[in-house]
Amino acid sequence: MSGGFEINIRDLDAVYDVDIEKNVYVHAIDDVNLHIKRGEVLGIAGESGCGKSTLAKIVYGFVNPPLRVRKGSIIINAYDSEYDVISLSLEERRAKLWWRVISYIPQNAMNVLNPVMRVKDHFIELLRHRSPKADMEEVVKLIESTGLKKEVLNAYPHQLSGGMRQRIVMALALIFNPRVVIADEPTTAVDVVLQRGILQLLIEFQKKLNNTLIIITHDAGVHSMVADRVAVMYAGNIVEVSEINAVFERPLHPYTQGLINSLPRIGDKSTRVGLAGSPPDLRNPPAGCRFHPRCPFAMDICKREKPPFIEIEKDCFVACWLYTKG
Amino acid sequence: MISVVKRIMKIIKSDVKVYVGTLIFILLLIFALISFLAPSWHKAWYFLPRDQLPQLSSDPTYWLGTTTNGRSVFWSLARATLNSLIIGLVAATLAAHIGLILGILAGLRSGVIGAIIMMLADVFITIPPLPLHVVLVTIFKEYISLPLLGLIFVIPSSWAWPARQIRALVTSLREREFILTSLLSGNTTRRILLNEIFPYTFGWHLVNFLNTVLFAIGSEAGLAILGLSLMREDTLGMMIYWIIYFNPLYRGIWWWVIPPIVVLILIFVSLYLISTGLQDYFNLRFKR
Amino acid sequence: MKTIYYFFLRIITFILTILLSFTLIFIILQFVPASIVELLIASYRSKGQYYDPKAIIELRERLYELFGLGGNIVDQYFRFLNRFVLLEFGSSLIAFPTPVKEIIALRLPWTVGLLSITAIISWIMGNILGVLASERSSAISRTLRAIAVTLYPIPYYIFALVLIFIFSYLIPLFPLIGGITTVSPSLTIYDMVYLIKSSILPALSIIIVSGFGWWFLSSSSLAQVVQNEDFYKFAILRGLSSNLILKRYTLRNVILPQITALGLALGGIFSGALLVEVVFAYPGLGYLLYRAILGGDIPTTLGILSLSVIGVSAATLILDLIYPLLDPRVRHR
Repeated sequence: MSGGFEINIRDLDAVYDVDIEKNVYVHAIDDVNLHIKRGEVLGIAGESGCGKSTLAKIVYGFVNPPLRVRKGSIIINAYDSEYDVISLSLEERRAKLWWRVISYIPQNAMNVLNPVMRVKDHFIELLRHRSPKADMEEVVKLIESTGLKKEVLNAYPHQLSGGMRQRIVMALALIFNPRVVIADEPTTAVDVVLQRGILQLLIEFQKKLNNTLIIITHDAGVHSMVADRVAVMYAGNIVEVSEINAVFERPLHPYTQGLINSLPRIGDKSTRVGLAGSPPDLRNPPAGCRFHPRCPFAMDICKREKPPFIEIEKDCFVACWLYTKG
Repeated sequence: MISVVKRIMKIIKSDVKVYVGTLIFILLLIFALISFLAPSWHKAWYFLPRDQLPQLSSDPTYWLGTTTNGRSVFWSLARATLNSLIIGLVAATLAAHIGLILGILAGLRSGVIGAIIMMLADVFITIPPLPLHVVLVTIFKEYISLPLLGLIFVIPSSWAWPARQIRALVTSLREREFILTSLLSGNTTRRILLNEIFPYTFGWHLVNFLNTVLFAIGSEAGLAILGLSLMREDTLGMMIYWIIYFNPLYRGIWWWVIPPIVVLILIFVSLYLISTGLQDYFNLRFKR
Repeated sequence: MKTIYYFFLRIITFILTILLSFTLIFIILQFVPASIVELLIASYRSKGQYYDPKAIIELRERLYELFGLGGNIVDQYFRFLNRFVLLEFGSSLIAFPTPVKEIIALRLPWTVGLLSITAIISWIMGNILGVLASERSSAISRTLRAIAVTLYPIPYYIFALVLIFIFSYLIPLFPLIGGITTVSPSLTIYDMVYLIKSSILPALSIIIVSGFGWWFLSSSSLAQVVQNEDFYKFAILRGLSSNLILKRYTLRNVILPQITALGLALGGIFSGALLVEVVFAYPGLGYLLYRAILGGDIPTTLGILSLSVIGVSAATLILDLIYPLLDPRVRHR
């Protein structure tokens, strides 16, 4: 297997159709460009409704009405092949892409197992479905490497605790050793102790299998713990992509600055300042830069034109008029 | 008052099912009420010439022809529709309200009382309605009348289904946070009942009511086939009884056979459409 | 161990339900005024058939006892229970002196056969079709659902009349009058064919209304509920084939509540089947009931009532015992 792997997202534009005849839609993803490298842990941050889950689903190729991709491409290079996610048919995505090249751990992973099937059947059906013979040994090894006993395989989901089920779902996601794993809000609705366990497990596997991990969460603490780079999203745009330390120490985009400033820090007792206002209604997003109504540095041009997505340093991007010359 | 009417109109128009169902039902109702205009001799047997084909004339008597026992199909059908609807109404009013009260009781007081009520309801649901109706009607045959027939249908399972359903609803509502909040804010039980619980149950109460009407009309027709209904009155069930008795289809007299069946089917379908449409409406409203 | 406990509990519930049902019937019958017995006997006499004087005496005695009009109430209650549970109603009147138990036993297999076959076929068929129809929101599934909505509220026997009209009058495929002549058919081919031919319309009335109407509708809406569940979406994300998902995810989860629903609906299905038998003169319990009513035969009527209660409760018990086999959440706590 060749070592080359990357994902290239170019000019992605997607909407949720509300009323097709009247051409009313929610403009969920606007002009997103992103390059994801092999072996990195990329965090996608942003508040609820900014489009991070939508972006993840589109990258995976899970696009169902009313979600509609209007423009752009997502090219995944893996195993010496190139996959154009958008133009592949559903059948092709299922056969070639899903679970082999790319895996998806959904939100609420505790409830995604079929209540009438044993744990081992979940694995068997995948293995039988995707490869001619079912190799239970691999499954047992995988389960045990998540810290669970192999007896778990014979149980039904309702007999296990939430944490155990979460690990099983992770094992399921990794069964075919995919090149990239998307984890959608893996720590939301979960207590802190469990959070730590989950994150540790994700990182452990990532290191061992050397795959790429995309973690989507609004929780800045999670990003700080696991991510190499973070892409910050706001109202359907990516506003900043930076290396993790840079994001916390030198946030570039005003939105990111607002986010970081609102985080509590140990030792700092000053009052946290939040951002005024709320995210825009994406059925009618503001003209120009979508953040300008809330931005303390808004200039005239911000209200009229969308800022370009500029590479400030290597692999560090920001979309803000403050950083363009002239 | 006007606002209530307006709200009803809005509900009716909101869903195709309710709209169509209400339309058909109103037509049936009008047809049933026309029976009050029937000539005084319409109940007499062999008054009109037998087995006449339907004829269009200014006098509605012959619109659907005549039967083998010399009666006007049109007038007997109209009266039959009316009587069947009355039976349905009597049974449903009693059963649905008994079910509502017991259901709320069982839902709010989940101790011994609730358990007993539910146990009774479960047992009554298990008893097949028909044999029990048969026994009751046979016994009380001398006293049988329209309202009593309605009452007989109430005793077995017609109150049990609504009771079970309302109780399930109330129990799940009890668990919901807004009830707890209401209680903690100091509302009395009665207030809670009225303001919080009642809006939810009202919708289902209506649905149960309609379903019971259907059940009662169907049960009456069923008993009639067995010869246990009100022999002297016209009901839709009795018309079917006479159809089986005189076997007009054998002689090709289709105009006596088809109308009662069509009317029965229309009643069932229209009430069911309204009932389902309302269910969808209430589900949507409260799922928000 | 928990499973045995569950079985035990269910059987106790079964027995209790039957006892309770009979007790309630007993209580209701207590409201019968004394003159009713005489009226019943008079109406029996007036049916114009030859009656055996011994029958009247026996009848009077039994009726007084059943309606609680003699002796102390506790004795009566236990005798009442005894009669109902053991179907000990003495001789029938329409076929004196054949005991009620015997003529019921003669007709029972017909009804059980018709009922079980149609109930099973319509349940299975309705569930499968409902699940299949839920996936596609095509014109076909919408039409099917519209048809189902129209079929569901119609009682079986009304639909039976419609079928008779179409298939015996318009397109003469089946005989118009006359039901089945032999009550106990032998195993010859001729008799078998005759049996099947006479059972088709009755069976169809039930299967079409029950299967295409009720089970289809409930199945397709349950399937939609399942499709909104997280585990369903995850199955799609994993790239499993739609056939597999339909079978193992949608159908298997739809079936569980449908079994419970079947248990609750049994009373209604049973009643409907009895009336269908009357319409077709099918020689089962329904037709027997019809003739018992015609002949003023209260003992037989009560016998059928008792059997109905026991039969439906037994069927519900069987369903309750099957359920844990299919739902692991009940099997393993």
